[in-house]
Amino acid sequence: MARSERWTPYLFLLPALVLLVMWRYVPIVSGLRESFYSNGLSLTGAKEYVGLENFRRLGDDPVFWQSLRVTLLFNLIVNPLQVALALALAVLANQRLRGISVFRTVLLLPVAISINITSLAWGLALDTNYGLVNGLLEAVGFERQPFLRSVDQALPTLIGIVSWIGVPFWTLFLLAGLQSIPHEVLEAARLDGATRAQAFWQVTVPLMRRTIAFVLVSDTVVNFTLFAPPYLLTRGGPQESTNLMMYEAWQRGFVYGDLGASAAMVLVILALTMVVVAVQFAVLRPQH
Amino acid sequence: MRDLFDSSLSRRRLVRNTGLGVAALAAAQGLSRPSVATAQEKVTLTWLTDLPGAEDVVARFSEQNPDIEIKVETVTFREVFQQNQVRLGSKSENPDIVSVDAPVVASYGLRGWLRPLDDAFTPEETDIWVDAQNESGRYQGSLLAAPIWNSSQLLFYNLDLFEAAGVTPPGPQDRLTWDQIAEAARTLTKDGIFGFQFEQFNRIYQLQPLPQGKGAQLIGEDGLEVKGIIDGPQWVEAFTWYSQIHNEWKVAPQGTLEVEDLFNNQQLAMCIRGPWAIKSFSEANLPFRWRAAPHPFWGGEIVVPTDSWHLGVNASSRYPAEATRFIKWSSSLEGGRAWREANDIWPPQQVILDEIFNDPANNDWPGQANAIAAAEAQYAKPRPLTPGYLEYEEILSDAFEDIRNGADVQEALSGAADRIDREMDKYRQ
Repeated sequence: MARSERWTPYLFLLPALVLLVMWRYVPIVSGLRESFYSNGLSLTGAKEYVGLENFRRLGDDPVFWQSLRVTLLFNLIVNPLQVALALALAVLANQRLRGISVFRTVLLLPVAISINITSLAWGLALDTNYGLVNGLLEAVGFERQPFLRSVDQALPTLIGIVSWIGVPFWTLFLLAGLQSIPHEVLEAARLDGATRAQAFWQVTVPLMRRTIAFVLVSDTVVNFTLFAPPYLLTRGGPQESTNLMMYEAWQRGFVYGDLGASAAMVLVILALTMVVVAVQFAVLRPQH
Repeated sequence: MRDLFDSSLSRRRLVRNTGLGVAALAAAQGLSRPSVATAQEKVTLTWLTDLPGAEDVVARFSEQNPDIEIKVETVTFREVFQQNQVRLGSKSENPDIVSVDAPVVASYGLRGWLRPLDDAFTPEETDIWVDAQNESGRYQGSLLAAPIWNSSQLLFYNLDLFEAAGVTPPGPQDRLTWDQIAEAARTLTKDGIFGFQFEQFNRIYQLQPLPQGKGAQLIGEDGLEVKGIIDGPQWVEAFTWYSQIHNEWKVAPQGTLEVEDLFNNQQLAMCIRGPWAIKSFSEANLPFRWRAAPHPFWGGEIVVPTDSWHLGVNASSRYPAEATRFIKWSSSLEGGRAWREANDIWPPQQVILDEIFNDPANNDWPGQANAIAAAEAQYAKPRPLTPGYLEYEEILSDAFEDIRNGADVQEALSGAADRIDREMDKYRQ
């Protein structure tokens, strides 16, 4: 290989690497730096090195701990739920039936709508007094539900809204994964006497580990950094029951003008996400 | 080389200053044709605002000041605060003209984000503003922002719904108590119609008369202390009423609402709104008779919310002189009339308020609402003065929202007091 050729691949990678560094790593490093400094928007406007002071303040703040609890609970439910539902839908959409393409189109339609529009539309539909859903509930004899305005129902409702987009989106990837499994492999399993369930658990799922891992990890990252739905619908309420960490971090930085604590909080989210993703990778590593 | 650079710079400055002089002269003589020099030296200012009618007012200003172009960046109400926070905090030179809501003047002033305007205004020029607005643009005695808008609040009601429900409506001089409001609302609430709601149902701006009317403070003398105040007995009593209208008597609708739409669709019988509602009601050609009455009270002290937008000059602006010129014009009698013509804006200039009050056109409905609003200005109480107003407002807003949804009043207010107290720590250096 000629000397110049050795560098060619790196040359092609360079634009992507530059953008990655510029838009991912520089912000992370500057966030890290910010979290060790005093609040630039304070009275004096002076930025001073304060060590771990911002983290200590977070540790003393019950709102932070409540936000952490809500974020963990939310992720503990939403990620497995979305991946399981997406996998089930992908298996359904993978059937060879007449008209299956219509089913696939309908299934994937919510993906085409932005999360902001979806949030607002569901917010209107779920309104207690004037919402479509409550109108329907009442028409069939049920009581009106507060949904996003109840401490008990707000988080499950948020999980539902987020999954309305998330599930079909991840189905898209899982369907592609399913379609890449050679038909002969499944046929061989059936010839060997495996039932449909056995073929699914013993053949399909192991061959899908890589795709499932990708989907689970991506979904986890998306949901740990979820911002728009609480921002648009609940503002973290009622009584902080939907106060996800990303929203709380934004609120601290841009509403309360406490950039140091905000940066510290984002770093906590980053660290938390990395730990969870590392565990997911370890568990879902392909065994062959 | 350096000399050359300097001399070219000063020459450029000279040309610009000459241009400004010519433009000012042209403006003074009422000439609308821009001279060649001004066209070349046009200064472009940016203004971040959410105000309707801003473009019209800028157009009026530009007719007389062809050397200044103002780019209006329109954002939502909440974004004005957030963008100001980020841009001014990072010493950005844009926007040149800063929209400052009255209660954050102190906060911006403390941080040195606004250029003092004391030299730009004579006492005669500032005396035309009503006292409350003249005060709220100042921090530590220095004028930091000039008022361009004003506000007071009224009770608006649907006379047809009152008559249909057999409830006696208040006359144009009758000030109802909050208890009378609740009582009337309970009779008016039926068949999908709600009795009463505040337009800004979760913001301290319209809700402050509830605790203040019971003699409570809004914040401690130091502008930082809230514990024992916003979770004290008067606040709890006031917001127990607020909780009852939402949760117990269910006369006030919950959730995210457009109060104007509810009222216009006859789904709401009474609401508290500012004088800006008068124009929108009149123009909507509503199929029912709407009326206005003075702002409600508890029976003791009368408290009517006031304050509104002020304009200040960004301390980092490259064109402070030009920005100041726009602000001076905007807050003058001429500017006040331009705002009023552009969008029926409630003016901070006492002379224009008097004109509204004495206008014969306002002896009858709907104009009479204008006269009531003008008279309410005497009970105006500004919002709390604190460097942490944004935190104060936002955290209280969440607490009010929780109370609307049925949270325990004492618990919600104590939680808010704790949280505001923690956020105020950064101002206690």
